[in-house]
Amino acid sequence: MMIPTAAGPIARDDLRVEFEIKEEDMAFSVACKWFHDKEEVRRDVWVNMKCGLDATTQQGKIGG
Amino acid sequence: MANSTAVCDSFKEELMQGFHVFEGVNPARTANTVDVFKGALYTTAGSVGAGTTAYSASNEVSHANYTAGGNAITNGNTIGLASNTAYWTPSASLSWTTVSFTTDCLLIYNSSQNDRAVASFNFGTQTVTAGNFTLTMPTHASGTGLIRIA
Repeated sequence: MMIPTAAGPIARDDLRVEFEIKEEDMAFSVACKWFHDKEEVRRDVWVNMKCGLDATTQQGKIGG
Repeated sequence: MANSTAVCDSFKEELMQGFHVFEGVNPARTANTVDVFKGALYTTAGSVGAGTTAYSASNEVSHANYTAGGNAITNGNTIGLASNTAYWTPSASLSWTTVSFTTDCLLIYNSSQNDRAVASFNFGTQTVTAGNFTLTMPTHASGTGLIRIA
């Protein structure tokens, strides 16, 4: 299977995948990083919003 | 000034003025249709936040597979009311396919009402490279809904 990348389609077996998970105040994210040799050629990102905003609370605060 | 998380001040005022209709009809308006809301992404150089009154292309992300103005939001959830809190949440994720950009902010705005701003969400700096970017919405509930009025 060929994977579309910034360097053009590359065979899946020639790619190494790393996952990076980050947590922010209001979201956590998962980045799927695709490497060809040592070069990152593709990165997919999923951001999951943990919760939204309460319009009646102080700006910049989340949850509550 | 950086991007920040906020329900826009203008939106609070405009709620009272009846500009935004997330569900059903408003007899005070000529057009009794549900408004179309959109989500646009901004670079880390933006200053989107409480003071934002409308969508602007300034500092919006740019890519061949990203349409300026962002994507329409799927608005299939019923407005919720529980525990003294009214809440609204998009009913589907926002996603962009095969894009490259760095972003840290989503602005939700009302494209049916002169692109009036609703709320901005800073989710931390995210870089996408020739890949897919997906924003998954929180659970549609009184404690987690994307926009809540308690």
